[in-house]
Amino acid sequence: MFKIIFRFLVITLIAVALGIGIYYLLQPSSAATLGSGFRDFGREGGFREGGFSLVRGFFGITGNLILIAIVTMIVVSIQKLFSLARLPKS
Amino acid sequence: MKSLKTNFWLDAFIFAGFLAALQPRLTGIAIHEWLAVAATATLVLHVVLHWDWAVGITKKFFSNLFHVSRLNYLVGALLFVAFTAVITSGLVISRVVMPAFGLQTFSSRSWLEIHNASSNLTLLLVALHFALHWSWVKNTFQRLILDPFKHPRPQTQSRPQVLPMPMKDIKAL
Repeated sequence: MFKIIFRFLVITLIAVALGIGIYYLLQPSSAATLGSGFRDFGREGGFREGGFSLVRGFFGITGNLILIAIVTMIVVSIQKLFSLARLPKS
Repeated sequence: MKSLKTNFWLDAFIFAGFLAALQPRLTGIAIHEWLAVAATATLVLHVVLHWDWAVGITKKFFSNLFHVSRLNYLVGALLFVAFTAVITSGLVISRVVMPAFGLQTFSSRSWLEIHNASSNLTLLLVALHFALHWSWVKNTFQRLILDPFKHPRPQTQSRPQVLPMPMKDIKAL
């Protein structure tokens, strides 16, 4: 139990240190206006401007699940391709 | 079996929570923020449960050049950094969590864009992490969810009923 608590604290400390690092690393650049080239998949920006919408929220989750499914299909196909390539010729 | 079950349900819980937290439109900003804070704690627990694996790979990271574990390790490390960036930028622009602790935050378009970009990156990395563990997810799902339905456990044999001794036999003793 002590071991688990110790590990939990170590990882939390690493995350906090990393978070502080990221904050100070990005702080100067955040003062300047970033180009709005990032695609917001209907998330926070849209929420703050558009407000709460259950239907749009579910559409968003479905979109994210589709993205995960596509990435999974691609990766599994590549893995299968490589595992087939490694099979000895009969 | 117990740790497999724990890992599977914890991971499923994190995955569902992550998907919901990515959609503030669905949850509203307050739940979005508190859900992200809760997700951070469960994610740390996820890393704790895979501590031995992470330490093992760290030790032999450079000894074996081509190994799928190295890719898993790199994706996991990147995911940790990206998620930390999401949480940090989220806390900077927080409107519920930080004010609840009496800390003032500022509304910054730039931090919001950093928050969006890092959450998009995190989503892609989660997808990659999920894809790399697809066979584990599939097998564990089959073992824990589908198999109990397909092959239900035979009912345990009931213990032989012990009948009370008749009174006359007791008297005979």
